Amino acid sequence: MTVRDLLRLVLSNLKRMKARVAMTAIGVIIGTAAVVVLVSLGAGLQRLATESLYGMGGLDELMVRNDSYWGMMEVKANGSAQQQQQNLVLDDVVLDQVRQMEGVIAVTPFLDVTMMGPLKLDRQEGWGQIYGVDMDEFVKVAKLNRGTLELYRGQVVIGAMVPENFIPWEEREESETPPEAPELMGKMLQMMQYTYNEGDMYPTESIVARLEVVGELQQQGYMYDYSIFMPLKEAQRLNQQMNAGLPPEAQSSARKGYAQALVKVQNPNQAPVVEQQIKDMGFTVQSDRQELESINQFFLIVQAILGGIGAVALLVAAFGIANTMVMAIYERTREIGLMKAIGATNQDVMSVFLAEAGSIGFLGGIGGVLLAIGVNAVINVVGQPLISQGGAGFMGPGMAGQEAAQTLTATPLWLPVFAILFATLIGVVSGIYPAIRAAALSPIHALKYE
Amino acid sequence: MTAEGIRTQDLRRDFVMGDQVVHALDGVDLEVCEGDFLAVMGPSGSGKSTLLYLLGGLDRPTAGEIWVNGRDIAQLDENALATYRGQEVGFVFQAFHLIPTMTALQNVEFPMIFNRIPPVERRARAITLLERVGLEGRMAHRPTELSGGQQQRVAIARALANDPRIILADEPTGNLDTHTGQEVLDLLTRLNREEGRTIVIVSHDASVTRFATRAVHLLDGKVQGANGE
Repeated sequence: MTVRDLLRLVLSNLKRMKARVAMTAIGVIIGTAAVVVLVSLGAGLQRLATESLYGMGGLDELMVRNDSYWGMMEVKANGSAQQQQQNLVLDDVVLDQVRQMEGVIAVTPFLDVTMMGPLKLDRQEGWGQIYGVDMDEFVKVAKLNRGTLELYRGQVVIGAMVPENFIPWEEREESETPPEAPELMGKMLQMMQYTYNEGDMYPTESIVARLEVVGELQQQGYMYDYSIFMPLKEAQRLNQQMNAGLPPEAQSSARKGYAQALVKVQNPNQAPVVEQQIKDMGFTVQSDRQELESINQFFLIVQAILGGIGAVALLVAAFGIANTMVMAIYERTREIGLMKAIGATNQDVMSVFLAEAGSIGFLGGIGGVLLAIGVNAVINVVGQPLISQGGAGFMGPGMAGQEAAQTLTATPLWLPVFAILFATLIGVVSGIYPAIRAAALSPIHALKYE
Repeated sequence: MTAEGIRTQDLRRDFVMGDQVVHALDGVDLEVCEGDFLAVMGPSGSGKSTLLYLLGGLDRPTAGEIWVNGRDIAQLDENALATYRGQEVGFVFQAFHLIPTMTALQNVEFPMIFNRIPPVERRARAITLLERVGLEGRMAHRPTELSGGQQQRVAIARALANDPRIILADEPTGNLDTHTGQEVLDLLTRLNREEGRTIVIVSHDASVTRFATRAVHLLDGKVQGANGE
């Protein structure tokens, strides 16, 4: 029998047990909808988490760290155990080597500027880690929001979130609405040094440097957003100045090279190779990609669990289909006998029952996807306040600045297609046992069945 | 013997009922020539229906041979047997066995679906067949809208769908009144006389023998007496 005839026969058979098909399909609808809704929810949460953390890219950037930089002196004291690490230096020679690697388009040290007090905007205290960077390279990685990246002596460019750090504490605690961050562009930030002399209640304040804010970066990731950048030479000069009063072994000039450096590759695909090469040199590499991978890994498990819960409902529905088909065999026993008498093969009989079971699964799958679309819409309407308010709290500060165009659920395009196919497959599989039973009926017994 | 027609040799069919073995057919040798109209007579339980089902490939013998059109159908595999049932024989049952959700036309078309006849040809042939059994005005009716005699005529048209040379009828008049039964037997006779189809009819109704060219009597699974007019 041809596929067309099979489908026509199946359709007319389903039509005559409409009520039962509908009730059986409802089981499939609920199961399919549960799978789609729960997986969509998992995918939506994943999107919220990853986009809020890494929405602004950063997958093409690697932070190279020299773990022995800070521990240099301890290593010396400990002896030879970490002799090899001791010799590891992240300096300009190494950075030049990195620059030669395929796909690398920018390399700049991130030199920590020693700070012994807060920053001040007029009387208002704030903070932000100051880094000295190679400005020629930094312009290739930094995304300027406004102002300039051309820095002269005493000028800095700030990360997008730095102004938030200058909101007075009183305002943060008391006001209902988030307080507005002060404007820093064009302002002078005073870099303070607090020294505590014996017997004093309060530290002695002195201004180490005055830094003029001439540029502000776009929001582009944690590494940038809360940092302040100045030319490398300036930073080194400041460090020398800050270190002047310290014992020689505590001075940062006693350490060789840099603690960390930023590497940018042309294409995120090249990042893993470069990362491995640098690791082989003995350095630690930290990238958003690694964190993104572990977050994705986590959400894959979440989605699998959620999908599994939905699949349980689908499994129950599968037994419903099997039951309906077995009942159909009892009802149509004489018809099965007749089909065989007029030339139907066992395969013909089997395919009729498999196709009927598959069709119930298919119909249920379509219904389930439609139901899921509706349920997802409701979840997104009800859940919207959760994202725009509470979301910022636990999803990290990165979200606060973003427009709340997010939804709680995300349905990847493959999901509804997969769900319908899966429901159909479930139907066919639950039809196997009834179909075999139908095909195995002896024609004479079937014809005489009352 | 010729390759055409039906011949059985020492045909046996046992049924196990509890711990007892019932010999429904106990060594039947039968020859039906091409173009015969054979009436198989006998009381209930004589094994006449069992014989018909074996001839039609709906059941398999315990032992013996069934030669139809030159081959032993007892040796055919399941699929070949299904094809045999679909193409070489046509069944007419006492209880009609029409599909209730299908119209008369669809019921007649049904066997052609399994024989993979294209839809257009199928439709045309079903119409011709229904006209031949005198149901040209009833094609779109469902079985429940037809009288018993009409239903049996639809069933006969269905038996002819794949143009088999052999028609096997199991008590075709059993569910009909005398007059309608006569009409059905007339129709089968025409198929035999005018188209040369071999007809084997099983009945316990003695009037059937008047239409048949031959009759055999079965009793306790054995053929009684001689064949003949």
